[in-house]
Order: sequence, then C-alpha cells, then structure tokens
Amino acid sequence: MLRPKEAQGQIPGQRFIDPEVLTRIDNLELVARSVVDGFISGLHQSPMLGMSVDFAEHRSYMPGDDVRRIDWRVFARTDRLYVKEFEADTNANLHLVLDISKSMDFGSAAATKLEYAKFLAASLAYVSKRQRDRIGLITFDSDIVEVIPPSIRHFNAVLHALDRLEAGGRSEYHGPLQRIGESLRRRSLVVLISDLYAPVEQLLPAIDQLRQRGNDLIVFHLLDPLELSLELGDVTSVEDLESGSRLPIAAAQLQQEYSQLVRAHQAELERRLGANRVDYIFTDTSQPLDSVLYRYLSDRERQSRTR
Amino acid sequence: MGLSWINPLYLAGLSLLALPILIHLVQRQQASGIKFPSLMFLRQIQWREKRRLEIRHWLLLLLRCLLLLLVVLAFARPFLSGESTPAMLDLERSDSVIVIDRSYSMRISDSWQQAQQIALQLVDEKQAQDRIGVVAFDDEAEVISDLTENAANLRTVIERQAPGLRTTRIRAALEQAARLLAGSNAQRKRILLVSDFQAAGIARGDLPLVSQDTEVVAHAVKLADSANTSISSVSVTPSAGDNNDEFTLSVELTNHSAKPMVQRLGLALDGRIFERRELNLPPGAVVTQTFSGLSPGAGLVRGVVSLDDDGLTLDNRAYFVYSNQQKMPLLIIEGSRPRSNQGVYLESALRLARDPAFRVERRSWNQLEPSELSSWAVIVIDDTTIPGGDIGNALRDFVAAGGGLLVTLGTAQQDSWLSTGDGFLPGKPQRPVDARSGTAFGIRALDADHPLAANRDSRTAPNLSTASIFSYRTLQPNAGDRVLAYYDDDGVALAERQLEQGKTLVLTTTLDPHWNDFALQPAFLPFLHRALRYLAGYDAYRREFEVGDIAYVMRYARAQAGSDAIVAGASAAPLIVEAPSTDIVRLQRQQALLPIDEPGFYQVHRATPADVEVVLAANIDPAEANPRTLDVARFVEEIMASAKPAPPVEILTRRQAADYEQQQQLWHLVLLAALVLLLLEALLANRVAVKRSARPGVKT
Repeated sequence: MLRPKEAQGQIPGQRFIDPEVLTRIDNLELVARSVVDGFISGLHQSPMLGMSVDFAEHRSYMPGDDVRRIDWRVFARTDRLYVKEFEADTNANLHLVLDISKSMDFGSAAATKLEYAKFLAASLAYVSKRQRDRIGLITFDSDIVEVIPPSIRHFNAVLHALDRLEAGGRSEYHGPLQRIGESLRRRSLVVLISDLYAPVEQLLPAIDQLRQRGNDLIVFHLLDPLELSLELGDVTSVEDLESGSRLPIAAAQLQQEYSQLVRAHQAELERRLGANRVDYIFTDTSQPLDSVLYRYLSDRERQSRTR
Repeated sequence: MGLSWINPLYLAGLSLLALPILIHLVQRQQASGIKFPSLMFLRQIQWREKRRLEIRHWLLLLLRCLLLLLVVLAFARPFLSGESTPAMLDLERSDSVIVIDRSYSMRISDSWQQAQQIALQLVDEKQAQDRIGVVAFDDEAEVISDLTENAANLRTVIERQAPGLRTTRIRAALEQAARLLAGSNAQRKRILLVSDFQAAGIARGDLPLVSQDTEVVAHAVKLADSANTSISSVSVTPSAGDNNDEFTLSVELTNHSAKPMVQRLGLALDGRIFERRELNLPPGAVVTQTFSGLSPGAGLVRGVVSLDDDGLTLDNRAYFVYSNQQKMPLLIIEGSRPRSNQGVYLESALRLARDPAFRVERRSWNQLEPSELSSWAVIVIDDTTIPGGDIGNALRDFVAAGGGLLVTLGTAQQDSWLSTGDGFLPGKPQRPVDARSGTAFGIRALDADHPLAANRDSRTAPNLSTASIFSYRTLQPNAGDRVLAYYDDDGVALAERQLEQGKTLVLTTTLDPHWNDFALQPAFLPFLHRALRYLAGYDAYRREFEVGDIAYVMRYARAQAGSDAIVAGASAAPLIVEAPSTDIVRLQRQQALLPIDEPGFYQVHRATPADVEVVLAANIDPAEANPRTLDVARFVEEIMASAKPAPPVEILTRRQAADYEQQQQLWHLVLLAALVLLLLEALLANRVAVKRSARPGVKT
C-alpha cells in the first residue's frame, strides 16, 4: 500500500515514505504507525526522555487497567488486586503545541503545512504512546483554540482532535504561548510546530515562555518549498492568506533577495534557539516525514547519550 | 473617395473597444494573483510594480479589438462615397453656431445678461440630434465650443463667458462661424448672432462672407436708454515756443444719450486732483475742453481725465502720460574736420521739430565709444567715412536692434564692406557725379508706396523736385534694397535697407549746401522730420495705447524721458512690467512686446519695482462707447445678398445612400473578415489557455 521513496541522499540506505502517500491515508494512527514503525526498531534505545523501568509504587486496580500489570504476587499475599506503576509512566508529559493559523493552510507540495504538521504531531504522539508517555495537544492561532491535557489515555483523543483540525485565524505567538507556558504544571516535553512567521525578536521571548519549569522544548519550523524559493512564475500579485492584503510583485526579480531573507531568518532562529538549548528543526514539507523524524530522533538519542 | 455610413449611430459602439482592454487587464490581475502564507519577507523588499499593468498577449488583444471593430463597422453599414458617390446629407440634423458679442459695450445696463439668456435659450430649444457651436467675439473671434450635441457643455461654456474690454468686430466673428459650418453636412446651417449691433462694429461695405446655404439670424439685445457720456479723445500738446516745460491738454467729450446731461470733468495729475469742471452736455453733443499751462514738474506726469459714473463707466476715464524730456535722442556724427556750417542746417531743422522734439548731440568718431551707440534712437552720419572695426560692428548691431541710421554721402569715401551682405548700407557708394556747368539735377518724386511719401501729417509727399543738386555720389543698390527716389539722370537719390528690426536711409548728396541747395528749399524741413520720424519708428508708437494693442516697449522707451538708461543698459536682465492690475509681466529686452489688456498705467521697471523707468498709458477704444446701432434687418439682408454660392457639393439623400450601400454590400466583406478573425482568436486563445493550465498550481 505504501510506496517507499528513496530520500534524496539525506540518510543513505534508508527508504522513506513520500508525504504524498501519507496524504492518501485517512487514518492518522495508521499514518503515525507507518512513519514510526519503519525506523523505530533501528534505534537502539528509546530516544524519548523519561523512559524508565524503575518500580515506583503499587496502586489499587481500577477497571480498565491492563490486567497484565496486576502484581499477582501481591494478590497472592493480600487477596487484593494491585497494579505496579513505574517511574516512566509518570515522568514524561508530551505537549504537542500546534500552530493552526491560516498561514499553515498552504502547500504547493503533496501536503499543506497543516497536513504535514498533523502527520508530524501524530507520529510524535505515536512514539510517545509506545513509550507510555502522557500525550496532550494544544492548538493556537491568535489565541488558544483547543487543549487536550496530557494523559496516557489521550492518544486517541489527540488523534481525533488532529484529524478535525482546520486552519483559522491570524498568527500570534506571544499571548497564546505565554498562556500555554503558564498552564504547564509539571516538567514536560513541549513540541512546537509552526511556520514561525514573525520577526525573530518577537518570536524568541514568546517561545521562551514554553521553557518555564525546565520544560524541554523542540521547535519544528515548517515551510513549504515555495516559501523558500518564491518560484511563482509569472505571478504578479500575492494575497496574504491571513490578512487578505494584496501586494503586487515581480516574483522572478525578487526570488534571490527573498530566499536570502528567509534563509537569514531561519539561520537566526537556529542560532538563537540553539543558544537557549532549544532544539530547532527546520522542515521543508516536501521532505519525507519519516526522514525528518529519523534524523531528529537519532540526534536526540545521540544527545541523550552525551547528556 | 471616402467612407460613408447608413447607420452612423452604430459607430458609437466603437466605445466598446475599451472593453477587451479592460477585461484583459482585469483578468491579468486576477489570473496571475496567488494566495501566500505571509507577506512578511516580501514587504521588506523594495518591490517594483513595473509589470503590473503591462498588457500581455498583445496579439490576442489586438484580434479581439479588431473583431469588435469589424462587427461595429458591419452594423453601421458602410459604403464608399467618392466623386461619383457624394457625401450623405443628414436630413434630420441642423447645425448652428451661436456668435455672442463680448465687447465692452455689452457692459451697458443688462446687455450681457440678455445676450447670455438668448444664447442659453437657443441651446435649450435645439433638438437632441442638432449640433451647436459657440463663437465669442470682440475684436477677435474665438471658438469656445466646436459643433456638439451636448447641451450641458454648451450651457457651461456660455455661462463662463463675460464681457471684456475690447471693441466689436462682427465680420471676423461671422467668418469664423462660417468656417465652423463649412464642414457640416447638415441640411440646415445657421449662424445665430447675438449682439447689441453697434454701428461701430462693422465698417461700411465691410460685409462678412458667408455661404448661401447658411442662414444668418440676428438676435439683438434690447438697449435700455441709459445715459452715457464718454471721453472720446485726449490729446497732449507741448506748449509752443521755448517754454517746453508746459503742455496743453485737450479732452473731447461726447454725450451719447438722447437727453441733456450735466457732467463733472476732472483732471488728476500724478494722483492729485488738478481741476474739476461742471459741464452741460446737450443730447448728442461733442464738446472739447482744454487745460493749458500744465507742467509736468519733475519730468514725467501721469494724468487721468475722468467723468462721473453713468450708464457705462469704462469710457469715463482716460489715461495719459507726458514728459517734458520727451525728446528723441539723436546723434550727428561728423568728420574730425567738418566743413564750416556743415551741421548748421541740420541742427536748425531739428531744433524746430515738435512731434517729436529731438535731443541732439554732435560727435566725431574719435569721441565715440561703441557701447554708447544704443543710447540714441537715430544716428545721422553726415558726410564722413564710416570706420570698420568695433564701431562698424556696433553700428550694424544698433541698426539690427531697431535703431535708425541716416547716411549722407558727399566728399567722404565709404568702404565697400558697408554694403555687402553683412553691412547696413543699401548699396555700394561709388564715384561722385557733377552736373554740367550751369545745370543741376532734380530729384523725382518719392516712391508713392513708401511711408515717407504717405505720411499721416499731410496728404502729399514733400516736393523734392524744387531742389537743385549739383553733385551726388553714385550708389549701386543691392538686391533687396529699396530705392525711394531717383535723380532725373536715373542716379539713385535716396535708398533704404531694412536690417532686422532697424533701417538705414542713404541720401547720396549732402545735407548742407555744399553739393546742392536742398537745405534752402521748403521741402527740406518736412522731409528731414519725416525721414527721422520714420527711421525712429516714431509712427509705430503713441503716447497712449488702446486695449488690444501690442506695445514695443524698447521703441517706446526711446521716446520717453529717463528712458536712456533702459535703452543704453542693454543688459540681459528682463524688463519688469507692472500692469494696472498690479500683475507683473517679465519681458526679454530683445523681444519686449507687451500686450495691452487693460486700461491704466503700465510701469516698466529696469530691475526692481522701486525703480520706475517708463510709463505707458492704456485706454479703451472710445469708438465702442458709441451706442448707435445698425439696422439689424437690413444688415442681415446685406450679408445674405453678398453671400457667396455654396460649394458645389452634391449631397445624397438617405434613399440614394441606401441604394449605393445595397449595390456595394461592403458589410458582407466586413462580417466575413470578422469571422476569420474570430477563428484566429479562438485558436490563439486556446493556445494561451493550454500554456496557462500547464503552470503548477498552489493548494491552499
């Protein structure tokens, strides 16, 4: 069903799934599985932080608990059902923070940026689910739109929410991110997925809000290939997706200067976020998603070994 | 051979040609727009709008326009009309030109309001398809609206008009209207003349030429019997004798009304009331009042003669200037060793001159700087050799700039360069000729067509034949030079050369009795005065100008007191002229032509307005104040009687035109061409569409 695609020389020997194929799959879980299962077995150790098999405590069995986690020895001694809880179950909260402003609803490649972001979020959620992390989702545009608090049982709710997401209002970072940062009660892994259309000087303080309480922050910066190259052919005017304002342009003459500005913006973000110990992953939506994840998770694994 | 139309109204459909262009531009803007996530980076770039409105796919646009054009032409049903098929007569339309009088006599009472109302009513009465043009006139005719069907525009241009300050000249206006109608193919053509029909507006027998197919309809405004007296003339005369400081002012007043009037005549000099007189003016009376013993004081006096306000106030004021130094600067150049009494006759004659008087100076060449020449209006070179070099060039420049030069030939030899193409003498002076002993040459009459022979002061030319010429120097005139008088042996006596703005006269004998007895003859004085006045261009200017005149300021300045500085200044700076309405006009010295547009004093300054140099007095033409009117019906009859036959243009009726069109069936060809174009357009548009659809789309 899936047609693997040779990534364009990024990871030799690896075969990745073309985003176009992912767009044809209706089921987000299946997408996530297809993306993640393909490479996760190749990793020697789970890359997500908080993975642990250390015993934490017993608690009473509640209907719905996995029967395999019942401690039968305790049952034999006490005649009561207890389940074992491990450190890993309580350590890691994964907050997927997804920008759903109107500017994300653009795509010249197989998927729009929003679709790509959904696949990415679903895949990350799937990885976390495999690691038994708590998964939550927050979407925002100029305000917070939807919040699914992190829970081990919220994987399906997250997928469901992702599935019915639609791009809406205008982008704003400072207000929504500040409120999200304030709402994170315990140390979490926060993944921000956005196209980051704002000056660096405005973005950095906003993003920094998410690092409160020692949160670990990963920023996925998504851009469409056209947004990088401005190869618009004989287009003579552009209309802002969010504001609707029009601007006459001579695209061919502006390409070089435009690309330089975008690259500079991207480089500046990478440098400044890196300095703040924020993981910054620039993603071109024409790249295979599993390739991006593979690269990212490999990096994380390597870093975790050295941390 | 031309193209005519059965249904010309369809040609209005040509305005649809704008549609494809607009659609093309709008579509281009829409089709080539794209939604983009953010303009954040684009706004940082100095973008250019260069190609925004450029038209692309020229060929396609051209085809579409052409297609539309052909369809419209086919509907208009064209046919060829030429010598054998004449232009079509428009039976349904009438073309008229409203000719409206805006001379200053229309200011009397409510004449102008009446004229405007009549003109507006004529516009209102026109049928929708009728065309009307408008000509407004005073002493000039101006087309203020071409023939048009648009009544609103016509109303606007008529309402914008106002009576001016000029006189009436009906002939120019009617002929202008006739020219407007000359190209009309309407069945009915009319000239609608709206005026007060002043008798002064047309000279006897000076009837306008209109075509016989044009009807002239007169609409006279009703003149109220308003009491009007006017100042019909003002003349300033220097006092006789040696008392040149004083002058006499004569004012002529006319009572134009049919009842006796009591008027107060006032004279103000330099802004101060000098005298007031109360006068009883019988109906139609012309009264002359004289103010004598007036003194100009410091040199120049500005005078205003005024009457009390009446039916027409404009003609109740007259302006004049007078200067007791109003003498024409004249230089006599003699040899370094003149004959005894050589200049006595000349100087005596000049001293007696009154109009103008002369300020005479005598110098020899070595007492003269080239730059000084422009200080004089006229230079007389009295039998002395003209040097070359700087002085020679300066003399040439002096003449070219409008100066007058009188050269007398005698014993002194003249160089040949003076008469070459670059020189200023009308011919090459050669050897002297002596009459046989006991005889003398006579001078034949002056050229009758020359201004010297037909002077305004006397009906006859000075009789030069009484003079006995014993010797003269032969002169070989060049082509283009004019000989004004010959001796009776056919030798040239008097010749003239025009050099740019100035002129040179050469008398081939002396002005003193050395070679003739001319100086002793009665004709000597009038001839000399007339020649010098002519050389100075004195006849070309007056002390007073009338509105509508063009004053040559530099020439006028030469005759007025204190003007030498302007004349001699010859700097490149422009002259500053302050009009009576205090408007400032700047004039270049080389072309100091000042249009006189309003009555009052025009002040010519040299550099700054504080430094008043020359004053011109401007008045309105008093003839316009005369309310006597024409017999309108007779006037129209006379015009129509003298009308020229209409040009023999054969005109088609609509029926005949339809027959021609049926025979030619041009619209078939036009439609066929349109079909071919449609096919081409479809093919081309398809190709463009295919190309456009091949462009990668953007998903949003």
